[in-house]
Amino acid sequence: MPVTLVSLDNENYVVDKEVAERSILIKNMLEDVGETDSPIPLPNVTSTVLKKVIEYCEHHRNDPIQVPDETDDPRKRSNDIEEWDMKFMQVDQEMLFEIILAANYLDIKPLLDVGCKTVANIIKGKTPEEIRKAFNIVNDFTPEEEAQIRKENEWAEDR
Amino acid sequence: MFDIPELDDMICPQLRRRDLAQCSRVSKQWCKVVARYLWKDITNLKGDRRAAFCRIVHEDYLQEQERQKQQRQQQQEQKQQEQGQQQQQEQQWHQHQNLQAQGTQPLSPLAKYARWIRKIPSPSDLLEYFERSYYLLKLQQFVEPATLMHHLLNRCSSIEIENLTLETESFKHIRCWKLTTEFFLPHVRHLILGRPHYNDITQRIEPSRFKVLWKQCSDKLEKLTLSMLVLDKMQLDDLLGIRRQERTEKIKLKDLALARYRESPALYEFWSWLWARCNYLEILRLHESEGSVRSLARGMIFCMPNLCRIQFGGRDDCNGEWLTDKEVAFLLRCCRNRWKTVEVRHNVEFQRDSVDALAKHYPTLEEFIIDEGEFNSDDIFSLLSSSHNLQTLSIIDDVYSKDWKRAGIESSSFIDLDLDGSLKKWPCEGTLKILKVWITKIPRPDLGKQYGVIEEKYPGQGRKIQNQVYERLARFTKLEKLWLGSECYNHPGSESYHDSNGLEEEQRDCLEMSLESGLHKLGGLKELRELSLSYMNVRVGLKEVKWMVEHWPKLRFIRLLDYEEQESDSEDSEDYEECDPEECDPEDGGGGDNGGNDDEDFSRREFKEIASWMQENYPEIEQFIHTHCSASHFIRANISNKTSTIMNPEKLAKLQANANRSKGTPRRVVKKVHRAVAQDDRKLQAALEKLSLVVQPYVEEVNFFMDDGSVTHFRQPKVHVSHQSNTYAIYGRADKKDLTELFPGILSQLGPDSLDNLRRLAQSYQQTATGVQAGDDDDEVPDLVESFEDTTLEEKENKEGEGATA
Repeated sequence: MPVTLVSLDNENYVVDKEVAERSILIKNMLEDVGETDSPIPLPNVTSTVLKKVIEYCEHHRNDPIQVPDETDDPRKRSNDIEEWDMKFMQVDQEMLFEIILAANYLDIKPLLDVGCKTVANIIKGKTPEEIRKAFNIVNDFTPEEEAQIRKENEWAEDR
Repeated sequence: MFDIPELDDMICPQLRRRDLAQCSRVSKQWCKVVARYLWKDITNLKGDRRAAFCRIVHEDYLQEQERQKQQRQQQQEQKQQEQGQQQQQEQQWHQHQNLQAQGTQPLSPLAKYARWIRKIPSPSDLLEYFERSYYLLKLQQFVEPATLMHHLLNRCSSIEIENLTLETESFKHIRCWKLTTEFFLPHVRHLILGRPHYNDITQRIEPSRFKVLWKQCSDKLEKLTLSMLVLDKMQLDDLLGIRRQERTEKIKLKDLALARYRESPALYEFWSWLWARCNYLEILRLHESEGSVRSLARGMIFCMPNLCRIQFGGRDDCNGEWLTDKEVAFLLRCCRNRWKTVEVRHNVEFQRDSVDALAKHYPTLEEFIIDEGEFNSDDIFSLLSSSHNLQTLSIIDDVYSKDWKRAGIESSSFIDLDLDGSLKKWPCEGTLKILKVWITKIPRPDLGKQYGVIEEKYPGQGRKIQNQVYERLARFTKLEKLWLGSECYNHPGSESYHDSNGLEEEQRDCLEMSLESGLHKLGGLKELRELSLSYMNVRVGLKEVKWMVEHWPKLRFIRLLDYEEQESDSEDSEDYEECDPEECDPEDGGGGDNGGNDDEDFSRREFKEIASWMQENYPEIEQFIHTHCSASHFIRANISNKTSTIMNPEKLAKLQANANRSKGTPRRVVKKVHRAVAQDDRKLQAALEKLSLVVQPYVEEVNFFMDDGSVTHFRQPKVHVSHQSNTYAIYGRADKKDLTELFPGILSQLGPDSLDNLRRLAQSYQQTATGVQAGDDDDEVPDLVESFEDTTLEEKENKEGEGATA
């Protein structure tokens, strides 16, 4: 049964129920409402982002639903992103964050994970200056302050 | 750092320490966010990093000393001024004032960040931090390592310690020992005394010491593992200096593990002291004992009203002090309630006496797990046929099974026919979730005359019995795990086990598990997740596997004994996530005597066919192939490589070779999380849990103002708040009301955006106003004015409306 999703800018997207149910939010919604033909409004997601998210869900439609594992190591090697996902995530910064926000809103855990891993990978191994450049952040430290912070966290620095 | 706390929470833990350190220098906001993740864990610091950390503590300590010196001077000055007339209390107050005054000075890093420290190294490791650093730091001023440790611990306010292991060595360094008891114990959830997995006779503790430890624990303590030998020698400690806190009475110990349990006249007092503190105990684990268990039994009867789960044995390295049959039976009889869980692990004598003692508890038993001991077909039968609540029955030891022929239920008992030829109803049919048991004595004419094959008494008897067994199994509708074969190659120490026993141990009086024999009757087991048929001579082919995945939607794991593998290209290679392994097996279980070459080729073909079919159609089921070579090679492969969707035989073969798990690696625990039943509440709660909400009590009402002027009104709802993510969760009955209905109490809640509403309201009043109402309005006026004292704007508006109505 197809489901109609409506983005913020009123674009309609018809997808398979199976695909839509990758999103726990929609899945729960459908379970609660039952059989319905009425379109599902997603007021937090723009059409460009929704298109991307649907693309992801289509590709991962057959994945098993992940069960949360308590023993999960939060530092699970974040470079173990699948090839397809890696390519999928090769978008500009803004889009990346939009996707993460949408995944968070739609409750698509795997996509959220991949998104966060991608961000973590961007940060990894960079100097503060490079991070600022990557995320377009203004340095509001005075040189003394920065030196101070550096000293405070020296024990964690690489050398 | 990305404006959404949850996102920070997901991204930051993925970064390593050094990356976090870089992040902290990006901007002020990042620095603030990152600090809590960066300082969370100070374990595993090495070399220069450790030295740098110690320097921070060292400097902070010196600063603190300096500060205190100044304070003392100031105090002395004050004293001189006021000529010592002050009382001690006032002095303290001044001290406090001074401390506050100093708060304006720039904080040292430790003072700033120590509150984020959650994970700290064990006491001895932490002490080592400071001991070793002196050489590296070349500090001018020497400070005792223990002093620095004390200083650091004083600063940390939110330590979390999941488990703490104390060994005899910990007691040697008195200062460290004091710090441990004072700062570590109050946060410990699981206290382990002695190393539970090593048999070290030097591990011992005196009762008096134990009591001191106990007194320092807080209500966080839930589990205690006493692996040390408790000595009867009473010894006076020099521990009186420890700051004692009265929280002992709050401890609600739930789980107690005793290793090397020993009773002697001198220890009776100690044990009864301990039992008296086990009021909340639910789980007792007794690993081994030396002699008598009478005191424990008395404790169980008189002091442990909640005890309902017990485990015997379970340590591989015990010194031959096995629990005897008599002891086990005795303890089993000493339960104030009814046992719910009984686990009999290895190194326990579990024989007739114990079985008899347990028999009384069959009706209430929920879990029964036995790895070693005597529990025969009749016992299994009487347990299964009399228990009302049985959820787990495991007679197959999944880790250590060495004696696979030991137990099992005979097919005739398992079928349990009534007089009219139908199956008798068993009370646990609707509750049983895990069944790990052999079903034996099934004639298998298809196997010909081999060792272990039972002959049919009349033609067709084998199939008939199998049909009835399937029928019985099909009644366990909640079944999640069904193990009919032993699983013994996973044990680290048992790799040679199969060699020594050869192939003869394969079970030949078991179910065929083929569709022809009646497998289709199990189609109703919709909850089934695991099926193990290892070391059984089964006839499972592609057809059967297809049927299984089709009918058991939750299936994640099939394990079968594979054909005999002749290639010896089984190199060890990368370990993989062996969570829900699945293993496929073609028919022809490969008894050494009948497996000709043709058969093997056939089986390999069939096997690959199954594997590739599974991969193409059910990639979500992780496959796990186990084959065994004629020698001792075990090849396991994880076919399910999620990135590839189509499987070809070459690739399969490659993967097979690749994913071989090295022998001797410990078996990983498979965690099963049951999918929650679709219930609104649970879903909601799960979502709310993520937000770490805090209950906000005493909320009288909550109103949602809708655009159309109506109000959704909750009366005395439950309100949960998360300020961090600016989220409120409100539960309660909602009524849709008109603004006028809630007048005038609601006026104080109206914000500036409601002006329009008010204006509309005022107009409607104006229109409907009659002389009679005007009279009433006089009463209302004071009310309105009062409630509007704070918002002048609305007051004005209100007056307008009022004026209009009047």
